[in-house]
Amino acid sequence: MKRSLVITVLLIFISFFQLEGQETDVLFSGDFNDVPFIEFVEQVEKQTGTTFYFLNDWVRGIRVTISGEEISLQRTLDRTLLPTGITYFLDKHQQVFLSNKVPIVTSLPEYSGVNDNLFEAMDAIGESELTSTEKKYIEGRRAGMLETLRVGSSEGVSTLTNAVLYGKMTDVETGEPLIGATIYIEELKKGAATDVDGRFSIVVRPGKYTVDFNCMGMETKQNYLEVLSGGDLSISLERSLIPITEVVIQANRYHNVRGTQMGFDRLNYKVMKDVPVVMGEKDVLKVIQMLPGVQSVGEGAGGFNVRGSSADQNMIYVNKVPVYNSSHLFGFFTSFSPDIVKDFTLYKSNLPAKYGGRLASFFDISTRQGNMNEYTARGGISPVTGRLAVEGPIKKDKSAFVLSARSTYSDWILNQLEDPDLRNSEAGFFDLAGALTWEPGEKTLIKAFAYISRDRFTLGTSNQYSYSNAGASVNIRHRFSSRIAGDMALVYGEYDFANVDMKIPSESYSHEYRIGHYELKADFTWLSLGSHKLTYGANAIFYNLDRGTLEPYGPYSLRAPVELGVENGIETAVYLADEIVLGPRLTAYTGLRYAVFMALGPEQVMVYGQGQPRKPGNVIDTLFFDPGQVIKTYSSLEPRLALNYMLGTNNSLKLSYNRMRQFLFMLSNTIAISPTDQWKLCDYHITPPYVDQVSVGYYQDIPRKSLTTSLEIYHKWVSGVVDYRDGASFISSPHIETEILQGNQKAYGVEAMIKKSTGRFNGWLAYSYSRSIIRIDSPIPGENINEGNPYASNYDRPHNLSLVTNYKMNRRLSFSANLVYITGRPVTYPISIYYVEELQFIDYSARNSYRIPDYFRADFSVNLEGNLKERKFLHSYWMLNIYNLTGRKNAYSVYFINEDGLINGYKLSIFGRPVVTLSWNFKLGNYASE
Amino acid sequence: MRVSKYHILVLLSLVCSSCIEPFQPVIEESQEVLVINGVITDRPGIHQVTISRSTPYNDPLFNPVSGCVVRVEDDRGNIAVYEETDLGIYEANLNASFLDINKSYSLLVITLDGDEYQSNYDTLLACPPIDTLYYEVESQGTSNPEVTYHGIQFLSELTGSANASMNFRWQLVETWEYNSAARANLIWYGGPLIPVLADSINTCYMTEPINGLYSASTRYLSENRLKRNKLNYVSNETPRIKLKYSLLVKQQSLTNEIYNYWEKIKSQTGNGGGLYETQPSSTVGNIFNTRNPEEKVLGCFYATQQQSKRLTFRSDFDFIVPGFTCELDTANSLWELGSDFPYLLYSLDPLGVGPPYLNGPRFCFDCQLKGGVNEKPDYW
Repeated sequence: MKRSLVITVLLIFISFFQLEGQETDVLFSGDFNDVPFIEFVEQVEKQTGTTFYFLNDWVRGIRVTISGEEISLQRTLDRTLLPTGITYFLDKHQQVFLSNKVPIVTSLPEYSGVNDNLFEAMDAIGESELTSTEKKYIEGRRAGMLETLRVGSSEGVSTLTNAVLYGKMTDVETGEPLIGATIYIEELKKGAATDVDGRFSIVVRPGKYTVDFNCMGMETKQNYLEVLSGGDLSISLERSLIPITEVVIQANRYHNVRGTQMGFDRLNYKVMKDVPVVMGEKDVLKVIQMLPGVQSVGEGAGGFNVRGSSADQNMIYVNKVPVYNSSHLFGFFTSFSPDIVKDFTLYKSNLPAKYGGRLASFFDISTRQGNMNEYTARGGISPVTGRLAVEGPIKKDKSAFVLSARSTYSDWILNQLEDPDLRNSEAGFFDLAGALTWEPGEKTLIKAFAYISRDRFTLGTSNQYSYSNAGASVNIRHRFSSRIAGDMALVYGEYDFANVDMKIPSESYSHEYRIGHYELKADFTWLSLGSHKLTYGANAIFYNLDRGTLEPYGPYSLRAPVELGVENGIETAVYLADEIVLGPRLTAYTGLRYAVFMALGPEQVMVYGQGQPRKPGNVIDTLFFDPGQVIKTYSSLEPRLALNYMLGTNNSLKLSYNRMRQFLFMLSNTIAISPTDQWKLCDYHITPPYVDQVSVGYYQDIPRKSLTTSLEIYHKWVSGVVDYRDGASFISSPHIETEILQGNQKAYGVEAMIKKSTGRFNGWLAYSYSRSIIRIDSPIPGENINEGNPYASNYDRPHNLSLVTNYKMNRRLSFSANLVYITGRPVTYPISIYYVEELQFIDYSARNSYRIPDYFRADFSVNLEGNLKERKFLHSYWMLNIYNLTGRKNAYSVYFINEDGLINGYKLSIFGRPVVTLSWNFKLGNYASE
Repeated sequence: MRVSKYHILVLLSLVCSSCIEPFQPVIEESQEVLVINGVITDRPGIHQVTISRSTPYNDPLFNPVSGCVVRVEDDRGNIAVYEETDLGIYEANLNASFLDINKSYSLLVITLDGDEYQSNYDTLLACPPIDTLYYEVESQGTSNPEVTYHGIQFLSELTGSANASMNFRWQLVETWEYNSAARANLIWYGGPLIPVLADSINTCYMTEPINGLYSASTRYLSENRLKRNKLNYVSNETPRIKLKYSLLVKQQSLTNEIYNYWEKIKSQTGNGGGLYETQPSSTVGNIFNTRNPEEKVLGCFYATQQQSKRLTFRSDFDFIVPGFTCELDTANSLWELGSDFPYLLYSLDPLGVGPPYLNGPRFCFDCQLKGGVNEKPDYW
């Protein structure tokens, strides 16, 4: 059915009559995968009755890839033909006229005297000779026509060499970089996402393409792209003015299906506004607990558990600064202010090779970098805290700063409590953060960040606790050439705590602990040939721990001082990774990371008899190590593999394998992290645990409904996981190996998620089924836990369902609701009672063989924005939160106490009835201000 | 590490009216585990070993095991044989030659099924005497900010030599004097009114062991000394310290193994149940099945030197200690009373015999019905 009838005159003729021409569209269905254009035409003609008119020569080499139902023919032709220079016209009689090189003009220009310019001989004028004004005029006047961006110069460039496009995507208004924004070249099915500084790079062959720029909350921009050679393709996007499209989730669909990354969630700070929270305190960690595979051991427990792993297996980075304790007030809040958070990413399946040193996950948080154009401020008041963040340019478009502060006034809450000890207690916390960004030139970006958080808590007259995080980083990014970019950082992080225990006068003590983290890292990206993207780099961390000394405290204390010792260690790593496009459908990420950890002296090491329990009585020798002397070296070769196979345009299958090793862990034999838990380096006796993780996933997008879905299955094997002997004490001796046992852990599960990211109604539904089983056994008698039988870990909570929804009634009023269901945490129950001296005693079941009752919670919140006047000094919004709407008394813990000789069981619930809070938040500027 | 109890967890639960409620878990399994308990002290006399089996959590009772052969052996080969005197209770009268400081003892039990259980040898360590036993007035808040209890906190101190035991356990027995809520001067069996001797039913003495585990160690202290070691607290919630109170403290020496056992028992039964508590587990003592060491055996056998001290004092506090109270009726005639004889009565007649009579439940007048005895202890 090839028609070979094309006459320019005809086109001109038609153009006079079919003024509404391009508004007609034809819909078709089908699955075309790299099909020659002619074949495509046959199919479409058959299906829709459309007739195409063109010359075969014009379309030779043009191939069509599209699948779906009710596809727009116009849009398909736009994508397929326009970049090749062929224009077309679709009339209302379903006739399609193709025209090579000469634009079809279907309507008259809107001013006179133009006709002469329109019809130039097609042979005579090459496109490069067309003045840009002309081109712009012609194309710009046409409905559906796009502006062309041209990169590079045509001089001496062969079309066979690849060109590297790099650039920055910014907010046109504030000049702030857009994180996680995407550039996507439709013809090549190739895309790139911007990093935390809004930078991207992509390798393409010179040619003409259609390019989409996408970012949450911003207007999508589509352009033609003409690549002559490599060069800068920076672009600014306008904020999308309709708040209805201010979507909840930033994780963009290109990542979901096209990226090699699995188990990856990237969210934007705005999501925090849409998730109801307790006490009106927006909280990053509470939001990620709504994602599949992320849980906590209980309400208000510090830290989080990813895919059945303990909380110390997560690395939390805020602008590259490690946060060793993410809790304020024992875990009810997170130790950094929500106002400074811009964007956060959680990796839980396959990790890029540049991350290492933790077994379960990396939680990477980027803070705001400061408004480069104007000063602004934001803040809020909730029943627990007050907070304020200020930002603005130091030198317009060159440098900016952000400062944030948050403090609590929670003592009044304690005074309301029933418990007499708590009523006489004091608690408080604050956090401060500041960031500077300086862009001395197009090629360089310098960022500095500093952060401190502090908590104190005095419990009646018996205990005092205080702890703080501090950290700072300096980060330099530089583009060495069009292909090579580097990111160098100097990082310092510290966590310390102090506590005084006065419960028993004779044994009262004080203890101070500190861990220091000093890191130097460099990461490079090298865009080599078109199908490769190399990343490589190295880092070195020096750990310096002072585990402190237990000192007698108070006039009656007879406690003997115990020095817990000082520990030093160096962790170094190098890595190399390549993302290779193996074909139009297959992308692979291969990486290798090699890490070495050295435990350094000074140290006094006990050597225990072979095959004997590590107990003080079995010491056969003592080794002394000088300062700086290597006590033991552990190394780790970590393959990181990921494959993405595109099944169609909107669905893909991914596979990944990862190995990771962790060289420090937290001494914690309690169910939740407590503020006196110490970090400890691996040493002569304690070997670093490692994990092997395999994940398989299926990803499907339904773009018309803006739905993204994913289904992942994973299996993890952890060796050397640490658990504690019954009654372990970490403050009685520096020789922790006598309190520790190591074994194996197995964790597996399925995670499913469906997200809707645009529209008035958006949110996500996540379900996961996961198990986490630990087994600690040894041929040495007594060196086991639970008699060497496998047991469920404390964070083994198989069924987990979370629903997060947000409904925007209008620009000012929105409603959010959450539903959470989680299987109860495993617990060891009393199974029988026996009598000693006429008192009842409990005999317990095997470890964790029962579960506390299941957890269910529904939350609701209403956001009321201030008025929408454009010119105003301050915009504010009220947030009404109802946490635990149904007032269900979820069991936080179940415990048994001996009361007057009888054993009684109790259930403790926290937030056992609806918690209603009203908070007020503000920002300078109007509704739309950032 | 343990952060003090569940307090912290209740931290923000101001809006929660009843965060803690009774909870009865559904336990499907039940094990009848053998429980063996026994103590050897340095004092000659009757020594006891009890043998029982544990019972289901939801249906607790003492489940004795009869017919066992029970023997205690010292480290020099001497053997003492125990006889079953009551179901599951085995006793032996041990003489002074068998009991000595620094000797070690082991318990052997053979059940009717022929299973043989043996304890590890436990050494009878010297126990330093109690230096002082005293109390301090102390107030304690309650969950109701309006209500504060006043009371006394008992404390003890000790100083041991370097070679004496460094681990201690205290067993406490309290005795207290109390009055019935009301006085009666007449008793009516249905016939004529008989005068009662007021003292025989008005003043009683209650002696009870204090249910609680008290233990401490000086192992981590710089010297073998304990100061301000907290024992029990008695508040004005009960009439215990209204009149006169006596506390008997039995201080026992423990080996490290036995101290660890009691510490673990203590931490698992007095647990606040928060997330900052450690995992509970079966607390196995020092007794094992000789043929099958994997079998779980509960309880323990230990040897100890026991030092006692008694503190008796008459109450004289600044705070008020309420006594027992009763709602009494007034009967204008005996015929209003009924037939639940006998009736204890107090005549309101100025002569002390005729009507009207104050009357009420018998325990209002007879202190013995509260559990005490009317016989004054010899140390009173």
